[in-house]
Amino acid sequence: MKKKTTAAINSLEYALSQLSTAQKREDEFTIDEFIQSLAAKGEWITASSTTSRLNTLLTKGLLTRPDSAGA
Amino acid sequence: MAYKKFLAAADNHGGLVCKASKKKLLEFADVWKPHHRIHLGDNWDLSPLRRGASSEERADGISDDYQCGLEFLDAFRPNFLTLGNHDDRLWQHSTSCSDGMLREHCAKLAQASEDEFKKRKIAWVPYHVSKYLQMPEGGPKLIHGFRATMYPAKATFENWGPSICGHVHKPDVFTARHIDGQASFTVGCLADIDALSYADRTPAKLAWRNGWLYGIINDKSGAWQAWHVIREGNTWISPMGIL
Ligand SMILES: [Fe+2]
Ligand SMILES: [Fe+2]
Repeated sequence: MKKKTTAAINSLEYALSQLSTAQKREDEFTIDEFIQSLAAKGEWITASSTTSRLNTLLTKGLLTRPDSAGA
Repeated sequence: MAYKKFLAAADNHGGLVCKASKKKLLEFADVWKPHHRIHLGDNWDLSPLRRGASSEERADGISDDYQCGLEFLDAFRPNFLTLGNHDDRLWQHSTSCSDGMLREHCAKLAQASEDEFKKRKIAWVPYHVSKYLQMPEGGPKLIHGFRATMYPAKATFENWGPSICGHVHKPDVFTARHIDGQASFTVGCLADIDALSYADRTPAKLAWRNGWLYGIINDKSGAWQAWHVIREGNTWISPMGIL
């Protein structure tokens, strides 16, 4: 197996373990959860517009957990 | 005019491979000595990348599955590979996963996999209805397969004409009612059927068998014929006898 392949497996393995086991703090959430919460409300946005939306909310101090009011 | 020999295997599903079937296939390949070795896809299982995979499935990781798939390629040494829907999970995630980090890592592993195919001189196609491979002599279209019906070989013939495919895990033949002759085959699988628990509530699973397909192709006309090897219980039966 090429070194590049081993490195790619290891980092994908890490990403998967983060998704499944990482303990989140009370107000922590993933971008994926943010997108899903908007989708659940019928709003579909791309990954790049999600990033700018999160930045805007953050600078305005409006960022809260997606499942709580206001996100 | 001479005939060339080919051998087609499919659906080992990475870490869920049936070790006994893999061993029998490799022993058969040593004796049959095919000019063309064909892998019809689902070389990996990649269940952690399944849409809607549970966190337990994701926690299982993919290292073992990936390693087993590569080991299978090294042992079987295919010249042709048609990626399957399970393999395609990696390529799908590379472009359409909503989690950016996962998408990026999948893209890297997909690229690394393409490099691994190149290193092994494997001609391959992605899982796509319009993509297929053919042996240099012509003959059947080689595809992973898309149609899961009671008569998968007939269904595949309907869309792709003469073809050999995997995917349905069921050995099946359709002989065309056609002035030019021709036929379609679907090939048994090389995975541990009990371990493929996602189909435990699907009656179609009762037709799944371990097995593979071998055949000959005319190097001038492309005329071809093929035969199933099918495992019944612990016996692998070929038209030539018990293996
Ligand atoms: Fe399969
Ligand atoms: Fe498949």
